[in-house]
Amino acid sequence: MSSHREAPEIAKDPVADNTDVYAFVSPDRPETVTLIANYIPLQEPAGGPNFYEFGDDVLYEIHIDNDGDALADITYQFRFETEVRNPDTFLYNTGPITALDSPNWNRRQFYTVTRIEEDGTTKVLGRHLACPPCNIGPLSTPNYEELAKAAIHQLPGGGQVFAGQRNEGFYVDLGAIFDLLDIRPLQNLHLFPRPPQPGVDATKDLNVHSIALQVPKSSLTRERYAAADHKNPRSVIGVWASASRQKVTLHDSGQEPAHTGPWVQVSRLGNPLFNEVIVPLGKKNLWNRLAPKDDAAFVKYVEHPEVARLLPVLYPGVFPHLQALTAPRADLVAILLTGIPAGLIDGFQNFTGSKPADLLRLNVAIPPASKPNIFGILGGDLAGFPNGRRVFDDVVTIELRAVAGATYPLIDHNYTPDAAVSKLTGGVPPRTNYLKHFPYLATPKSGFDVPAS
Amino acid sequence: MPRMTRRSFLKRTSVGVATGSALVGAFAVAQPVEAQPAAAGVVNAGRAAGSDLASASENDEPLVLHVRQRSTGEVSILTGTREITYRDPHLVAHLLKRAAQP
Repeated sequence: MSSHREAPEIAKDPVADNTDVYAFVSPDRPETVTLIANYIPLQEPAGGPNFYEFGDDVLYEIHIDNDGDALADITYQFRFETEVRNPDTFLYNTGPITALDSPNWNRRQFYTVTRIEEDGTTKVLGRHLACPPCNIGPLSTPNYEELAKAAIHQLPGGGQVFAGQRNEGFYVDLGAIFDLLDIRPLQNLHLFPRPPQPGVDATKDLNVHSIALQVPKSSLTRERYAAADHKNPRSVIGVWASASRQKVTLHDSGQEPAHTGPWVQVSRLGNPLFNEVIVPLGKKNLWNRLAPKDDAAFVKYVEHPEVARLLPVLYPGVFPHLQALTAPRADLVAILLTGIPAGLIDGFQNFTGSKPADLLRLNVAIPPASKPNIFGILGGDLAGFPNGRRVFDDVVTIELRAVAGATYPLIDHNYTPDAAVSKLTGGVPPRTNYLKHFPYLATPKSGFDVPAS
Repeated sequence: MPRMTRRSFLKRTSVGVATGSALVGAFAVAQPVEAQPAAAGVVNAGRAAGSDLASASENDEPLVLHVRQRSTGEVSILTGTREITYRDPHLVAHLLKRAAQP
């Protein structure tokens, strides 16, 4: 999955596992940018009585680099605090939760949002902001949409924020893709052929915890540029998210765990699938602990991606041009590590400079598409991935096709991608339940309605 | 107080000068280690460490000593969200002696 359980160490620490990052010009408020960072992967909706929640002991952050040095110029920090009304019951709720201050809701979570500037200036944007409960079922959370709506908080300066459970937005045929890169619709061409089948959306009934932030474009751009010209370098921002834990945790018999020491990053994410399928197993934990500024060490894995070597082996005779392509993949370096320079794609650039770093690069001067294409730039839609990432973008298909050679003609006009590249797919159609407004990710599935996903 | 840099704030870790009076016992004679260049404008580590030590004591917060390198006597104090590293071979030797006791 995009970055769900993508490294051995973070797979054991789901509360700190950063699963997806989205950054896009808000379609319904095009003067703003929406940033979303998801955590806590693969939530079974019926996971009670201790339903999912953010970690009070985790520092969640969304970072923005607006000058191309792969260092955060702006950071939004989120710290959570859980409050238990009645410690003498095992119940999450003792009756219907009809409002965020319902006395029936026994275990509530609140958070503080702080914005930090490059010079160290800090501003608390909101304190004790309420999260919604998890979606339990019709008896416990009878009007979930209203509860979630009430958990959207306005921020000073025209922004808004939400933190809480959402339906997983990342769609993929997970069971097939990690079964030797099987793509069900194309499995008749696989090294171990079987009849083709429709893909299976493995994550449609799972939930995730989202931190969503919508702020004016000019609050993110360098020198508060108003993003009037897509060619202006100040129109491009680089976005990534992270989770950190304190250096020491003490488990003392009969005591709650205690934490001390500086924060240490344990998870991070910019582009979807970077650590998942680009970084080799022996480096995945390390990558999660490093900052984007250190990503030069990973350029070689982008220039020679393992998936590009596997495709011709697992689909014999289907990818002869890809098999013959041995040059470093400068196209993938541009897409994932530097941004795409001007002059390669008409009317577009999201180049942040030559310093390689895994950032989700968004040109905020590109307006939202009136008719979005889920294949983003590969589908001719300049407002989609890899220009940032929207919730509905089919990033699995886009990246599969790019790795398989679809984008190499940007570098070498004489290269012709294999015919099968246009047939490559993550295997599943996009969801239809995304919201048309903030926070865009759909209402989480309830435990009652999805007792077993 | 000089303004902290973004990175020093985010990491909340400082390595640098400690005033002896801010520390207790063996740490009063410890030599601070420049494990990494202190960012310009970093808050005085010793003063902060002292207040951290005081607040840790008052609030019963954990204070952890980490012997980073036995051979050089490098030891870190972790409390709150701070970590201060010193070179104190005598303290490390004392701790190792204690650790070796049954």
